[in-house]
Amino acid sequence: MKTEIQPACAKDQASRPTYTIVTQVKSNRVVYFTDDPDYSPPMEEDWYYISSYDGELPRGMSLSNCWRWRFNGGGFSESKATRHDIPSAQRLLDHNRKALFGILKEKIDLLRAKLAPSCRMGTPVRQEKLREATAFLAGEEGAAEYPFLEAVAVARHISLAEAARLISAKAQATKEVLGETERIREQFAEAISAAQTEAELLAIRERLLDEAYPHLTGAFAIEVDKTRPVEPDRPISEVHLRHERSRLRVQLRERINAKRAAHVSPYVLEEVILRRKAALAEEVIACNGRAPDSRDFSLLENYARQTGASLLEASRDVMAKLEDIDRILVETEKAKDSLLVEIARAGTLRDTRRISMMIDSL
Amino acid sequence: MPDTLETAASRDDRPVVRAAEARKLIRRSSEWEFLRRQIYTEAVVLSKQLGFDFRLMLTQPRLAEIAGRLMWRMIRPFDASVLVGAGFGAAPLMFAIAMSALKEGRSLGILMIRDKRKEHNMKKWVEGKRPPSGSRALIVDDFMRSGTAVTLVEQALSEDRCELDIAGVALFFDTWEPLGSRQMSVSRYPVVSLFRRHDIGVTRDCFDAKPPTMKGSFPPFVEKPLWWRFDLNGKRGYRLKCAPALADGAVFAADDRCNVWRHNLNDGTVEWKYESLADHPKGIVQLLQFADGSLVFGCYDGTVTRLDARTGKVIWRVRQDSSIHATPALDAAGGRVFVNTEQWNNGSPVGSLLALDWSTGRILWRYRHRYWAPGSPYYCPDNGLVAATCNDGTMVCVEAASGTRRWEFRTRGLVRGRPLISDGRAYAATESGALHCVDVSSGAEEWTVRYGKGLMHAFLLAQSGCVYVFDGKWHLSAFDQNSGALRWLSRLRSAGTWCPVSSGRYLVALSRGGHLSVLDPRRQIKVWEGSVGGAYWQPPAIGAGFLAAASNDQGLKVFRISDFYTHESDK
Repeated sequence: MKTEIQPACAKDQASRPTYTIVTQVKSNRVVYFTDDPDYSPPMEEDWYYISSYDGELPRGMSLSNCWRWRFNGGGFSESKATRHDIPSAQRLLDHNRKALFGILKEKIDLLRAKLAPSCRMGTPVRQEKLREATAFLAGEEGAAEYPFLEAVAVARHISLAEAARLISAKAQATKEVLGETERIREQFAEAISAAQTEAELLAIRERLLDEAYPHLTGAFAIEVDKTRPVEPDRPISEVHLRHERSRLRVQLRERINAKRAAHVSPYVLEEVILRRKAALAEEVIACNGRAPDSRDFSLLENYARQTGASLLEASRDVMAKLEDIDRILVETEKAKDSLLVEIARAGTLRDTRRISMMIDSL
Repeated sequence: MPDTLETAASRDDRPVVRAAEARKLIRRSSEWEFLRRQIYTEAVVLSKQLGFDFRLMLTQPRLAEIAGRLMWRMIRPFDASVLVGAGFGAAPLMFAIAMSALKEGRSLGILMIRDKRKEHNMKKWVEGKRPPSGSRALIVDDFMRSGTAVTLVEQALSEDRCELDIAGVALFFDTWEPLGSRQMSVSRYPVVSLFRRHDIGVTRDCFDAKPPTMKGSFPPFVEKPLWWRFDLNGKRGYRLKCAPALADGAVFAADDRCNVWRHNLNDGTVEWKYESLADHPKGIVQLLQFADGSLVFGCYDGTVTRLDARTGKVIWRVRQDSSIHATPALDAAGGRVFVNTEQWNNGSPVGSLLALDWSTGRILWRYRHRYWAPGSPYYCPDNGLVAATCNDGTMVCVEAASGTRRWEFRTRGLVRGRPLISDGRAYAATESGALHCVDVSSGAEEWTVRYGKGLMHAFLLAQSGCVYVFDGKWHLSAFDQNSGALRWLSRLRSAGTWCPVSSGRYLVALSRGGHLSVLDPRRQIKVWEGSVGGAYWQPPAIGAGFLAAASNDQGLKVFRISDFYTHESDK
């Protein structure tokens, strides 16, 4: 049997399937297709075209979805994916992802807003100020004019050198905040983008409230739609409740820390010193203001001398300070314990509002 | 080259062609029209989506008998001896067809397909007396969307080894889905139907649209704009904007920066501009009201303003509360203006229905709502009553003279559009999709029906015994004022804006995507459909042979309406 060898291109030509494509006349959308060479439609009407097509069909096109493609007689084009093509679970994830980006953006914006120029063209003005300050501090006093630097110095009644240092310090502070906020923003943005499940997003939400600038978290209470009368006793959904509990816990922590911070010294080991002073003060008070000979009271005596008080007065002062710290610690600890329980029990908008007010009133 | 197949019905005696010819004749009969009307009341299910349940219709003997008779006339050319169908919709229809055939001496076999094989006794899937192998059969169903019933029938027949020669599919109602009956009709079986969705207005095209352009015989309602002001609204935060007004040889329009403009109707020249005292983010969201040579409107800055329409000068301007969304209702004869106002009240919002003196703006009375009241009030001069809604889910009716409350009605959902009083009844369409009808003298509910997916800002229109409402999907529905029964409906390309606008004997519907539909309520059909371009969340204004449309993104457009429609209206 003689076999003819076809040229490659002719072979390709022969292996390409031929389809009959039925399209709606109005829209060119594909209604039906077949590679049956004997195909003829059982009904003949004026709403469709029948065309032939040599070549591969679009990837993924089947008889149950071919309406998504248009065929103009020569080629296919896919219609824009409709909203219905996105699964509802994915839509929820997208929605929640967007909400987290919103919280992140708002927090970062709140921090940066304080550093942003208040007037138009403020950014180039600041750049010019910094350039002048840097040049001045580099010793180019006589080399150039410093109109921006002079403006700062004149307005504040300070020298050019002081103005240059002020500008330089502010620029450095701004740079640090920008660097820090950008680091946080990048971290969270990446995590939010990478999250694939609702649980992951919820965990990120808690971290976003708890770790990223928690002092701003209080502002992120659930927004209550006031289009209709609010029902404060209606149970909050589980997702919102989780958000609100996280927010309230952070709010509580920030509030208690703020109260305690007033009694925290910037000096390292200050508390140890205070406790030692207090131990001495207790003995002095027990001896009616006299320092027993048994140990070294110079720490307390020096404090009394420097403050111009008697040893008894200085001892009472030290004890009062310590009692004050103890009182604050006990008060805040009690409040913390009871409010954490309240937060865990909260179930309605009325609960969360009440707890938020209780935290604010601490 | 693509090729359009021409129907050669006159020369073609194939059953499907003869069935189509028979259907043409049937469509002219009063019984077909009777059944068509029954579809609205008995089979259409209005919820978030438009649905159908023909079992409610075909289990009524009288309707089933007519349906069977007409179906038999249509399918007779197929010369089938067996009817086969699945489900509770097909069963009564097959029997009704068979009874009609029997009257002509034709005995048709019937095979009923279970949804799955029976699990006991004879474990049949196909029920009914087996016809001889190879018998000519038709698949019958009450309704087809995706065509799954046909697949079920084929599978059951195959597995029960019942060999039939399927000649086609006969449907009572065909939704004409692309991958349902349309695909089936060009691939597997001829599909014939007594009704297609187009027969009840569920099509975006006009009633006599023909491929390929899908244009009908009616001339364009509007064509190119007479003039076009490119910019008007620009804020994206709040989508509802102000609808324009046509009066006094001018087009009045308010933008979303709280400015009001007067344009010359013929050439668009700006004749004056009024600037509100504040630029509220939501602007002016109104149906601008023209009366006594003046224009009155509420603004989100809380003011109600009456302007001299010729000069734009303020006649009076009052501010009683913090914001106004509602369009005022005028009682020109009684010298009053009614408007709902709103007050933030430190986070505990309240609203009021105010009556203002038309001459001075002085407050005549105040009716206090319990919450926000963005809905527009409706004044009915026939009985001196004002209906107004509140966001606490109530509609109240007060005496226009005193503000004394006559009654309060609790609605199923918010009404931030406008209620309506007509022929002794008050109507309100809620955002939850409920259309209420209340006796205006007592406040007692007469009927409540579902009108579809709720629309956020539905204003109602009553005309010729019907109350018209857009749903939030893309339908315009007409309900009988007396009974609440659906009379007819029409499908738009996107959701309608507030309410249809009367233009002589026609109704004009502007949808959010900028498509304009012209409907003839007497014939209950869409006669023309076209696009004016742009996005719209507010209705157009029509008057003096012109149409003005204020777009969210494409400025203000004014069109001259085709003489065909204005002359028709004069008749």
